[in-house]
Amino acid sequence: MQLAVCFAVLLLLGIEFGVFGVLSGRLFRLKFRLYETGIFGFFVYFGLFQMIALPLILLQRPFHELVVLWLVILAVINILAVVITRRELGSLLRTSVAGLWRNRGILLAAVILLVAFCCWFHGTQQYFGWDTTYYIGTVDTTVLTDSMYVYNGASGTISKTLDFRYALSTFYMHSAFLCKLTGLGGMLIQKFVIGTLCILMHGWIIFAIGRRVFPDAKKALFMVGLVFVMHLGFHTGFSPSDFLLIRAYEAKGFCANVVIPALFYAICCLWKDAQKREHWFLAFLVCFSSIPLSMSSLVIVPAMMVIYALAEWLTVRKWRILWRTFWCVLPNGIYFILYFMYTAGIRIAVMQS
Amino acid sequence: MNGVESVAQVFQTYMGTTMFLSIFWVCIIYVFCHGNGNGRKRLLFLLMLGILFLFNNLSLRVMGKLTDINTYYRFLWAIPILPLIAWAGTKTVMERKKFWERAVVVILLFALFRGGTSSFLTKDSVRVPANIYNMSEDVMRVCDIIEQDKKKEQPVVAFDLECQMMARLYNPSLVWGISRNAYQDYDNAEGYEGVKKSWRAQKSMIRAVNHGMKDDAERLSRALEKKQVDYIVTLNVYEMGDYLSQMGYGLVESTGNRSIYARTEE
Repeated sequence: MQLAVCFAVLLLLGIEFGVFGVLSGRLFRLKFRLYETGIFGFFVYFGLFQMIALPLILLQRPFHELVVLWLVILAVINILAVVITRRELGSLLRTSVAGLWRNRGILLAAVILLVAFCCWFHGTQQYFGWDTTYYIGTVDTTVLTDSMYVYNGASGTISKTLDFRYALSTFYMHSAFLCKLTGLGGMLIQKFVIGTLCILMHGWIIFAIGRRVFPDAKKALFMVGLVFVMHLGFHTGFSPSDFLLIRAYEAKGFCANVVIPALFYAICCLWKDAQKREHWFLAFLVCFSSIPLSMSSLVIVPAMMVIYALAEWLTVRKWRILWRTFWCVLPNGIYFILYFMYTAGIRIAVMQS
Repeated sequence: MNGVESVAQVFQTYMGTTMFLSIFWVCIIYVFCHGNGNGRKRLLFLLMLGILFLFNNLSLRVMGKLTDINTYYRFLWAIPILPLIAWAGTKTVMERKKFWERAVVVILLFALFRGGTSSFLTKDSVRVPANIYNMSEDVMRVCDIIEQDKKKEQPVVAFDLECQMMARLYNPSLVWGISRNAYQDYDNAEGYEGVKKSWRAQKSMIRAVNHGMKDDAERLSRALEKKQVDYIVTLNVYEMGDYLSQMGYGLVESTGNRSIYARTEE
């Protein structure tokens, strides 16, 4: 029963990413390819969640206020989507099914089975590290104490200050939101919903990269299969594969396997056409939502963006590339200043202590 | 990644015994040979800028100061090693008709696994968990016993290490009596030499609950009082009943591996 609830939550999240992708595409007048809509929606979803949750965390408001507020926002967005983009949503569903049908065959079945095996493998791994106790502990403690980052997630003791190493990213608060909504514990939500989501999003983004470099969907599928086969053989404790197959439920897993490949995809798009608005929008959005997904993105994502943009600028010599890159890395720059202030000793005291 | 000294060492530890990095370089050459003018330029600039800004020992030290040198390895995630190898592999397999080329890719893939030494798929890793939490049933039983017995909403518990790592994932209302730092730095049965004064209380608890030492009742008693520990969870093999009763802790119940003691005096 609990697994069935996890599966339903996963399905609902998938629908939400589609809704967010279609609606924001319409609002910002962006034309994305079919497989890009879900990726776009994923980053819009977490970016928006951060915009709602972060002020509440900094103000040390109770967790249930976030739950109510996010539910209201989700309801409004879904109603808006049904009213404004009903036709696009229907078309998205039809085209997705048609795309699957068109590519049916042994290759599609093999890739689906391989990805499903990786999801199962991740769900059955018995890894308990100190990070596990902190992250999953944070999710459970948030629900139990109705507070956000006021208590230490690992030990359950009250904190003296808000720990900006974690509190600037609202990723685990989203997991806590799912726990509150379903009544399931953090362990189950993280392992079976968030971990599986990480693996599926990783596969989806690799597919998108494949479609960008190969015009043929079958080749893109084969590429996804190869990447997953290689993941199964890249066991070193620090590799992205380790964070995909063992620790996909951690924010770091999302940084290594979703945020960074998505940024790489956006850069691939920019290499093809640096003038297209959609490509820059996607790059900005991935950077903007990188901290909401993981604090590990703090320096890696802007560094990656700057290096790729500089290489592009040196190749085509257009100043506009650097100007747009500046806007892409600006959100991470702001977070970095906040984090730097925290490490320098400027901290927000916990009010309950 | 602990003990980081140089970028080369980080790369070595990151890649382990796999051959992905070597194959990645082969793929880079392949891309360079097959790319157009601008593609080659981009690739060259990327390599140079990557080395200039990120992958050198000076950057390692700077990044180490800004964030944490032990997390520097995460910058290596920015190198699209697997997508690039997969791209080259896909091109080789799907765009070539010759059988030997396909066979080369298959051999390369087996080489990456190096006979399974770096594979996730081992006899122990492919398994069906005993319960949905994928957790030790003994630890779950310990948490259930405390849950039924507790008089406070969030009791403080001094756990043995294994139990500490799992207990709050199953029951978040239990508060650790021993911190993560204490366990990471002082988890041994040795004495207090070289242990800072502020850590001695927790060290005495670790010695008792995780190593079964019974030679320091006075210090342990003070530590339990200071940390306001409501429950002690320790391994049955240590037979701590008599020792802990001196400090006012009585046996609540035992599981297969552990005993749970509760504070009996107020």
